[in-house]
Amino acid sequence: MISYVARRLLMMIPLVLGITVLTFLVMQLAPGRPTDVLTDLNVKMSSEAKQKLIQIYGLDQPWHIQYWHWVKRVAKLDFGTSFKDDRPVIHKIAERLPATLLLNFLSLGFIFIFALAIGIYSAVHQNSVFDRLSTLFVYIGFSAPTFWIALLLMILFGLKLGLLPISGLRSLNFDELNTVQKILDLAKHLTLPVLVTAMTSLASLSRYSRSAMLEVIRQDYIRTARAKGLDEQTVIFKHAFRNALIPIITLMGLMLPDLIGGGFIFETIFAYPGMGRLGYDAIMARDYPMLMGIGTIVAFLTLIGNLLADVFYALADPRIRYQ
Amino acid sequence: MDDSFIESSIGDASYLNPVLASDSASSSINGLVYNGLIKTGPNIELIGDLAERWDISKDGLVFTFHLKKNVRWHDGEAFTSEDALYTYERLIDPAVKTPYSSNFDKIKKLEAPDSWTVKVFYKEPYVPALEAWGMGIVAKHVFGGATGKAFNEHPANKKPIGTGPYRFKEWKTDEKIVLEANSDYFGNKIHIARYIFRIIPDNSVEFLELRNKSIDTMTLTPDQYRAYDEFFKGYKKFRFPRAAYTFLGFNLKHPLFKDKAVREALAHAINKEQLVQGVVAGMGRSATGPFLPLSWAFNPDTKDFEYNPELARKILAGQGWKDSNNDGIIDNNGKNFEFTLITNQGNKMRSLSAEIIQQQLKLVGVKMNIRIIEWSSFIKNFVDKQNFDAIILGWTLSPDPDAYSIWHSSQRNEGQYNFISYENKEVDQLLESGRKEFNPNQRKKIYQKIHQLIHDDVPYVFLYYPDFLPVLHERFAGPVVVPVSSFGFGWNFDEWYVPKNKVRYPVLSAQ
Amino acid sequence: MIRFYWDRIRRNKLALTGIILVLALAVIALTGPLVSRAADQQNLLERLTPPSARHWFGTDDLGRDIFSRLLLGTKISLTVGFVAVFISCFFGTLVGIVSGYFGKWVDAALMRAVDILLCFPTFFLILMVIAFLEPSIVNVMIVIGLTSWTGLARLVRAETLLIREREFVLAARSMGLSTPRILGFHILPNVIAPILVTATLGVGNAILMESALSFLGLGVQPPTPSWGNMLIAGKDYIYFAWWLSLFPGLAILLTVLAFNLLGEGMRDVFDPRN
Repeated sequence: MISYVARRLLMMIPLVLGITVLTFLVMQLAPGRPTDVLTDLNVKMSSEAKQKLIQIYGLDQPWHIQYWHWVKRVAKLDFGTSFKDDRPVIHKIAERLPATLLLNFLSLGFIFIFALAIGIYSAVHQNSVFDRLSTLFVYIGFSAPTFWIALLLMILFGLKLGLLPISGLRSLNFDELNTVQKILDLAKHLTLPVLVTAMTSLASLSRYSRSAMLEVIRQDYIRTARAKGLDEQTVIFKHAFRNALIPIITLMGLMLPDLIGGGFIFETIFAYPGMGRLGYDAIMARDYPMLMGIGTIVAFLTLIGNLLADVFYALADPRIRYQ
Repeated sequence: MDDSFIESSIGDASYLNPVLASDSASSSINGLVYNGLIKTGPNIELIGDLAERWDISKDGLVFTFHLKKNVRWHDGEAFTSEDALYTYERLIDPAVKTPYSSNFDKIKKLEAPDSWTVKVFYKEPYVPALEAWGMGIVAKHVFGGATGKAFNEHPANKKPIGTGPYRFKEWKTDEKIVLEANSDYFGNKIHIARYIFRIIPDNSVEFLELRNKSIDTMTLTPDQYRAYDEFFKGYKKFRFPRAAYTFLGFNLKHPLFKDKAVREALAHAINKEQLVQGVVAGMGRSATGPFLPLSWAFNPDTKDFEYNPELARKILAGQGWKDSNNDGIIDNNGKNFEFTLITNQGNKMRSLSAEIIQQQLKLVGVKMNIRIIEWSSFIKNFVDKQNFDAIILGWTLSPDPDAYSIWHSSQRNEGQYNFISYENKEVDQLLESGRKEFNPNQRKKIYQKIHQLIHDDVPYVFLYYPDFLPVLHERFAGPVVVPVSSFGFGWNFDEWYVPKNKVRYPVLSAQ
Repeated sequence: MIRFYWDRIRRNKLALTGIILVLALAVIALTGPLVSRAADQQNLLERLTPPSARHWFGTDDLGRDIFSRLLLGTKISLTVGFVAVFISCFFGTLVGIVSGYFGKWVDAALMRAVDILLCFPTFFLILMVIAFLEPSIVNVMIVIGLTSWTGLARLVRAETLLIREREFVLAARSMGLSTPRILGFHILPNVIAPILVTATLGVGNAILMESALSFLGLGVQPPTPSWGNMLIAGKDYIYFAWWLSLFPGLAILLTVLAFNLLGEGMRDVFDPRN
């Protein structure tokens, strides 16, 4: 197992490099330069001043030289400074990562529990009213545009019922609260974002776990277990349950990149200070060092996530052994 | 014990350093933390800020600023002419990422004869130069005299120390910035104890937050302003002209638009009243030229082209444009009158204007296509390269009307602002003399003439001047609306207060 | 064969509901443009009027009839969905079959490329490309298509791996049939089921993606109405002119739901174990 993990870690290096090259190439397609955003059609800005900024940024060099410089610096763990505000890229990412991870762990947990529960119950009670209704419900959740549902929920819970705050990660007086109040405050602010992010993935996951369960239930060894007179609870949870876990774990691994870096829309809607907005702003501002930093970190985290998924996979499925 | 003021913004700040920042979010914070040598007063005149007073030599080449002596930085150090000198040096420092260097490139040198005097020597007389000294002054000791790259990356750009009415407290990126009243401010006593700047990136969510009374002010869209009367309990609404105009510009190098008669015909075909109705819901007024109605440079006698599609058709027919093949589009020598208008993505008013104008021009048989392009590539590939037929864009103007970079024929190169290639010798000359003329009456004549001349040439169809539509929580007393100021109604924020019985967020800690 | 599947579909309520909804949409998309001349008709005196007998779904911020625009938008949104899916299925199938059939270094190289793409947040990629290419209906379709084929490629590869060892493929090879012929006539027909299911689910996804791109101003550009850009235009009015966003929102929801139910139903129908 340990050597397997080590080997996987080594294999990540070319993958991460591949991803950074891809990011860099896509950036080269970009018309426009960071200086356009900075100068913003400023009437008082002369074109000589613009030219000066281009040189300061080093944008007058060919792309492979720029990439080589970047790789050399990253080898020393230096991601450079953001064009937007001259702060180290790594600091800006570190600032956002906790909020993003917090939200993602909560959503993943939520998805995990509910997808499994719905999947198992639907499979065991196949074609029951619950099975049908839950199928329809998770599909509606999946089919609605996220930001629209988010806005409707904000209006309902924030304005009409007044139960939850509308946006943000914490209240303005957060620092003055005690620990219990702080946790409550965070919980209130996180309820809608977690609900909305989880909603979009619940459908596919619960359906997958349902069909995995169905498949298992029809297997011989389950029939044998039942025939041996084991009670239904034991059969389901001891034998079938583990098998329903497998597709969920794999799929969750695949969902990671979009969860970590792809949250632009709901982060914008919920005014949530996460990685998605950082990435979006970087794209729009042509903030190359920032984009490269985010691309690399997201890819790295995803690969780690996939590795973890595989490890869990092995733990869940005793048939899989790694040489 | 006093109240907090909660403002919101679509985007986060970048540098809390007036020399480096160019975005509006940073500017709102920097305006409260830093002071310039001068500032714009309630009557759009320049008044002293860090400078007590100033003299300008007869030939207009030497400005002498006499600084206030009781000013202290937020860390307790005294403010002196050294700081002004340091700020100037950074503005012209080639390695400093400032977008403002061209405001100061007509300066020969700066001198500080003593701690409270700054003398500025100019290479040539340049009237708008005075306005440029509204630039916030940064503290030399805070930056340790850093130059170039070190200045760009200095931690003080994140934790500013200024002289202004508010001190910096904290900044949580993409979440909020908090400022606290400066009890040692050299101006009047500050009443609002805390200023909180929340980042809410979506306008519709911002509006829900306002409805929830969790922010104290917001700039409304015209529809929000109008549709919501019964919802604004607890808020005061304001409405006054914004220092900006929106225009449709013709690329004068394009064969279709070389002909002035054709441009005039299109001006007659565009119904500006309808635009004002459709785009800003009646909250704005139709524009006649490059200066704002509230500015002294505006020419009240300029008569706009009347809306008259019949006349437009007639003029076009006179130029050979008729619908000879009955396809609804006028043509000349077998070529249809068709062109593409571009505007930038992310500005709803501009794209709505484009859609309305498209319909209006259809009525006179002109086919206009619309392309909406993301900002950065819009500027780089289309505007800078003058690669377009027609364009919708807007200019925001500062109080001084100098518009040399937009209209002078020397400014037609790639990347400059006369991207429509306008050229009029008389306008060129007037723009040059307007920069050198210190006599206000003479200047007024010059700029009003420019207003008329540019209107008559129709390089742009000047569409409308939009209104500024902020709301403010009713508990705040003291706001005075100054029309034209581009920073809205917050210009005297340091004088606002909340009556004791209305305080909403009491700040308990003693100051 | 067809009869066999049809019987199974008839018994599968999910699939049946999906089919009915999708057929209804197809009719709207085809006939909509005929009855919706009014879609571009602005009336600035009737901006933001609530639903009435004259304007069933109300009017938008330029006084245009939302019902007509929605009908016209059906065609646009479905076109985006279908074309994007066609592109993604083409690449997914090609890469999957080639990778699975040839194996060895071809397989290794293609699958590493897929790995790289899978580690990249799809939406991030789409956004970068669109932001840099400029949004237009064609670019939107191409980009959605080009970024969503990886899942299918893996699926097809796995199926191909199994099929290429089957006797009829081995027989075809020993008869000296050309490789493209084997891939096209022997392998492809046997992997068509998962492709169809993925394609059906993909249409819904592409429509959602277009609305998400519209949120960022990168989707189909006005004045062409797509459900996505109509929904976004309505977003700013959600609290005081709800009809601007409600109807496009519901249209998207129902359509995506229909394609998902159909896809899900098809999965059951094609599943030999049922």
